[in-house]
Amino acid sequence: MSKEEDNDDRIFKRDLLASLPNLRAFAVSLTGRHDKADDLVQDTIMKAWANQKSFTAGTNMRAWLFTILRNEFYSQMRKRGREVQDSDGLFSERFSVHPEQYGRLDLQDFRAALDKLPDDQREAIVLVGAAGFAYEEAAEICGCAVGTIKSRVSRARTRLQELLGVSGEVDYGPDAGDAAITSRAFGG
Amino acid sequence: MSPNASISRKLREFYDAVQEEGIPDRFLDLLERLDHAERNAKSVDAK
Repeated sequence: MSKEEDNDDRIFKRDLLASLPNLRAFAVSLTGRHDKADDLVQDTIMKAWANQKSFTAGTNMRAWLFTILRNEFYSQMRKRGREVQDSDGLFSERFSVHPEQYGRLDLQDFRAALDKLPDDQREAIVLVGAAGFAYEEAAEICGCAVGTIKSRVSRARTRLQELLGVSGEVDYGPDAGDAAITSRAFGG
Repeated sequence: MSPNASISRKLREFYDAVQEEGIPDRFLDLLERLDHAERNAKSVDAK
């Protein structure tokens, strides 16, 4: 193999490794459980490796990997007949089995709320609000318009506020007006 | 803190907590295996 190829391989592997913790957190956000998330990450690594040639060096590897993982997630979900999508039954099952696996107690409520969002809203708010992507990148990963991502993020925020009981009126008393303005600003 | 800021902070805390778990060994092993397989295949090609 040529020196240049060898070097490309090393860079590819290094960048893949560097992206893994973020990619895995995205997988956990999508699936709601660690075991499924890790299977999904494994499938993604295999796919990415097999398609190394289709990755253009110097472009955004993280976005490329997230796109592969997301496509894999939805195609597996379709195959399983929406099993993953089933909300409350599955949700209570997963959280009752190994609660200790889900980390800090104060984050469990948040996780539960996140899990109740529709898939498209969940992925939008996670990509933009946690994974570190710009709206434009998130739109590319999800294969939709930037405006669609913006409105999904906005709806996700509103829904999470409702689910978690975070509202200007209740928690912030005199500042409720500010909260209302904020939520209107994100309402578009 | 505004409701939106509070939601954003919780989301990042949740996400960062997973990221901080690091990379499970199974993925490091998998990458090693893929790397080996590829190197072997290439050295066969070269012959």
